Amino acid sequence: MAADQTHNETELLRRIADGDQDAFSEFFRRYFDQLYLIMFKYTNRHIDAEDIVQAVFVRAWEKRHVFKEMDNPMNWFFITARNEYHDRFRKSRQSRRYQQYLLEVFNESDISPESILANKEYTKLYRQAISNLPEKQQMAYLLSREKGLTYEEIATEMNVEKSTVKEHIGRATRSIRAFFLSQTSQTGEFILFLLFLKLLSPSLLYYSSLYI
Amino acid sequence: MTQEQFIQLLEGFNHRRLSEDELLSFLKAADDPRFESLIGERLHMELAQMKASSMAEGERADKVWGNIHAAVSAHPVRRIHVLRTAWFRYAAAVIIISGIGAYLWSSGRKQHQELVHNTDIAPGRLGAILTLADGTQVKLDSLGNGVVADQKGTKVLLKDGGLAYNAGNANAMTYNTMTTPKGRQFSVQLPDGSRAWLNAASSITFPTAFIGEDRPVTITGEVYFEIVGSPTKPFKVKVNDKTEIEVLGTSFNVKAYPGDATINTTLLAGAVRLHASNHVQPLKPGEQTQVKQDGGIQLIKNADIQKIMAWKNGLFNFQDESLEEVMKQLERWYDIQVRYDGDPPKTKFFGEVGRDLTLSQVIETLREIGIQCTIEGRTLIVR
Repeated sequence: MAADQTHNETELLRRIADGDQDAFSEFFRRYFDQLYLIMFKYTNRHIDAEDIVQAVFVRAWEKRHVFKEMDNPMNWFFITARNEYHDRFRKSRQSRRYQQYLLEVFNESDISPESILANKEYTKLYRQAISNLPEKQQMAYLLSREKGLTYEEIATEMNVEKSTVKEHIGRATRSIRAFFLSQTSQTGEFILFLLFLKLLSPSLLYYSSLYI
Repeated sequence: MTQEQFIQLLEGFNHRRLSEDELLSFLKAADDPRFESLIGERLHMELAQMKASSMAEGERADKVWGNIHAAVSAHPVRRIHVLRTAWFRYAAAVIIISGIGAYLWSSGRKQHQELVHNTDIAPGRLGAILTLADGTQVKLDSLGNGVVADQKGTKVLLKDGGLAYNAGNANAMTYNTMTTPKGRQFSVQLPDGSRAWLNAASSITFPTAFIGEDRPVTITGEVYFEIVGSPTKPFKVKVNDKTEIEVLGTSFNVKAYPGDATINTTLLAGAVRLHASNHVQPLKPGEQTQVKQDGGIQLIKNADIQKIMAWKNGLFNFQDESLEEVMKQLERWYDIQVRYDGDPPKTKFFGEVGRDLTLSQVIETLREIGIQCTIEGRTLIVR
């Protein structure tokens, strides 16, 4: 991190320490995207990433009084984020449900739409793509990706067979991908991005989508 | 497994390209403290390289901010020092009558004798009683820090002026009850990290570890909740046999004192569903439901959040309240009984006043606006 940026953040945190809610809002807007992406990468689930990020910012606000006495409050912020991740992940990874959910997500052979979801321009497209889905597919997809339910749980919730859930989600995934393709063919940047999707190995994929 | 192998698995996990076997061995290895600290180091490294990005504008950011904002604004910006300045003497005079009737009513009476100040009644403060599963009762206050009890793997701690549960490896479910008497307020952090703030004369009963299908608690009185979201384990607040609130990760206030005409649930952020008799009413932030005794539900679209949350922020808010409603609040906070000599005057109040005033200070402000009252022991007599 550049020295002037560090200084800038420290200043912002000092204002927060004085109870300045606007400063806190600015701080949130600055760091949300990045923190969210990192947490999504480590949890593989939107709802967990959301929870963690939310908890970290709330904790930061609760502890704002002590920012003034810290040499490097940003460092405190990172440590809090890491601890929060540890606490959540430790709990969730012991659950059968979570393992089941991950297996299902990992087993979908093709690159999942969420991995494309790296930054906010794509978020908008992604939302649009989901809203275009037929009702049942949309429901199954959201229950899986946003609520983190397993296929079995979704089947119970929707009162259909598990195989039907799998089919819905498979179709939804393909439609979303197709929608991305159709919507972005005008923008050169995105064609490039999609080429990356096809050509690069998955590990590079993540980074390319992050920093493109 | 070597460190290198684990790092490879971690990379694979982060990019969603592990096979079933690999995933299971990753999850298993991640419980090993050596590897767990490795994840922590790598995560910390990435966080430390995190650069401030431009303004986040996505829906997701807005949603998360919505939840955070409730927590941020639930804290008072500055503590109010009552009766320090002339201005505040006036403002804290709170209780300014809008009904002229009260003046007419009071002016026809003779002045009562001066209040006796040396028997002043202090305002309520932090404190509660915890009843453990075996019936043992523990008195709680904000002073001590440390372990209060250890029940079947769940540690109960006093910290930061509240109670906290640490459900380690607990696998047995026992129930605890935290009760605030009149004149006390307290908070508890439940085993799942959710928090509950109890107003005076309230209680909450909860399992010492949430190991079942859902997270059930039972309350009486007035409680404000901030619930940690869990899609697979709904949080349920039972108010009575007919009324239950199903929580989907959120902050909200429930007021259900015996004698209140309605049970009021107010949502600050997130989403809850209220089940009353056979009705289900979902709430959006800023909305309040009022459940009547006959089971009817009324939905208030724009609830006065500032007024409803005043108690948690160290204030009484008497906006639009009748004398009897105001007195009910004073009874609970000062642990007093209120008696009316004749019919209570018909007045509406407005304004806010700190909950840190002594009772005689409150009475003084009441007298300034023409409500005559005296204290006898712990009874406040309104004439």
